[in-house]
Amino acid sequence: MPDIVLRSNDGADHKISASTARLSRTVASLLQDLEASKGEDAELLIVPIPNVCNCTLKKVLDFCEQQRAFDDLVRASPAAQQPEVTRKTQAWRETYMKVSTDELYHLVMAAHYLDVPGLLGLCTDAMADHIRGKSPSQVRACFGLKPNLSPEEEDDIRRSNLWALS
Amino acid sequence: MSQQRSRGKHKAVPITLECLPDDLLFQIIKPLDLQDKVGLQHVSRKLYDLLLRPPPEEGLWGEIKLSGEDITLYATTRPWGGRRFLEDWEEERDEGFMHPRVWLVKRAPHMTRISCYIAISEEKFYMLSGLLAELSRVITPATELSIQLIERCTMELLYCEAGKQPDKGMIDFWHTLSGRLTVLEIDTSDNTPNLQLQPQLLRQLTALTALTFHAGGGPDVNVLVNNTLHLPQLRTLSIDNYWAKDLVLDCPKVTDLMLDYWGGTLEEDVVHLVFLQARLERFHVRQSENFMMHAGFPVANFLDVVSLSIACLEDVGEEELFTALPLMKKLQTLDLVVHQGWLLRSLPQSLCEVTLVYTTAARWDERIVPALQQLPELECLKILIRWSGEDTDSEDSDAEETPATLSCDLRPFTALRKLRTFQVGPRGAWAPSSLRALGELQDELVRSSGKRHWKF
Repeated sequence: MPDIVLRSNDGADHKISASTARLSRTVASLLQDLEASKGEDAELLIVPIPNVCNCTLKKVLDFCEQQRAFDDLVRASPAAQQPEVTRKTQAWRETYMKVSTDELYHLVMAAHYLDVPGLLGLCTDAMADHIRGKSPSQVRACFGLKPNLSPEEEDDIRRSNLWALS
Repeated sequence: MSQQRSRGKHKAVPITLECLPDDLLFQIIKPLDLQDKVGLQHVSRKLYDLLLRPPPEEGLWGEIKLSGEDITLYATTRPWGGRRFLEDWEEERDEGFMHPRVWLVKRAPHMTRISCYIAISEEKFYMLSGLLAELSRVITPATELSIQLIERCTMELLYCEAGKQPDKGMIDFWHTLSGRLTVLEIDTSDNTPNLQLQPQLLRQLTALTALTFHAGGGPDVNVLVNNTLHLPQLRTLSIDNYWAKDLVLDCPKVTDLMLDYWGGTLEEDVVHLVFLQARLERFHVRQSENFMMHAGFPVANFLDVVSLSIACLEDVGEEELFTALPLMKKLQTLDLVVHQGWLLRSLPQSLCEVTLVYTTAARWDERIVPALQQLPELECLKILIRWSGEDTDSEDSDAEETPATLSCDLRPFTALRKLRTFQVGPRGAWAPSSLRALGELQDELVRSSGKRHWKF
């Protein structure tokens, strides 16, 4: 199948190969439907992605491109070189995930909507890292939440959780 | 890669942790350890509710009926595992265990039935005491409590190394449930050698009405010698042969009995069953040999049977079976793997559903048809060429390779006025002439009686 265009909700087009696009299960499913209705020789397909803005979509597609490149590399590399490929993949992902909390929010929502399992796992792990080891007030500060439990409710929860804190 | 037609700015949409969909939040929270999860309950009301609420799929608090009168509680080492937990038990031993007690306390006043699914690794074993303390607090005499133990948890609670006695934790666990637990399902595939089931722990469960015990491990795991398990209230018993050796199950009130893969013969005293006053209503047996021959199964035990399923490859003691069958005046469902040379001349008139399974087409004997045609209540008849048991690949292949030899005059079945479902299969096993007859029969029945639910 030829390249396709993914169009963000603010009108930006991203031309990518169909095989890369299929890393998103949502897009893969859409493509399947489109192929069924139009056939494989159809003109350039434009797939609107209404829930994702341009910069987030670009970031998601960066991941997909890189993921595909790593997959190809893994397939082409002899067994002895596999650890090195894995190391490179991890290093790239660490750099990739150096994003602000706001960007992370958009990214996780996009990964969820587009159903890109690898990226979704990365994002949820990163969000869990933001929570891990923090006190409730630190978590609130990190995610911009306001306390909305009454002191009585707080006490009640604390009492209920004594078993876990002992 | 990117060919932008327009460069829309990143539109800042104010979203917070609480804006994320629940399933996404669950995914984020799942890998956190216990302390972090407890901490999250204090962050906001939404997170507090979320951590106490069952996820959409079955999980820690799964299968809850919202009436508040009937719940299933999953206590696993992670908060949302559900039955999938079984699949990756070995890999996942994370710290994410949410204690059920808060949840239990909140709903306790309405509960009439509690089902616990307990799969707790040894590292978390101490948490059982908290769980049981809560259970014992909320259980009333009217509460129906069922527990499902799986794998390692079964080992932790029921098994000891040979020669050792159960520790206090194990004794306390079962003692707490003494006289309260009504349903117990035990499943283990742990193959740790040199472990022995401790029947004295189960012996306390005098209120037990249903017991299921399936073990995938070898007999060496489950050997139990010269013990009697007296379960006076037991109505339903489902066991496999790996469970115990030389075990006497004294279950005088059992009505539903399921025996699966009971290798060996009862004559060899592998397991004794004592049904002094038992009047079985459902009896399902697979792979057991000579079960009818044993003195523990006198015909009198079968007179009230309404559902009988016998799927054994070896000798089942057909003389006793053929003697007992016509006497089962209440029998409604019969599911039978038919052996070579069997000729069922007389069947109970009460039968509503009959499934006859032939492991090869060669075993089909047309002379059974008159007996079937004399069943006035028959609603469903299935004649199948297959073997549905486990570990019978060779039998399956036999069935596939069976030449098309089955033939039968099926038209007299039109006289069965209540017959709604008539299924034969596979088509390849039937002679073309019989297939044609089946088609004609279907047409005739639809035309003559207006029955629309026939399946061929």
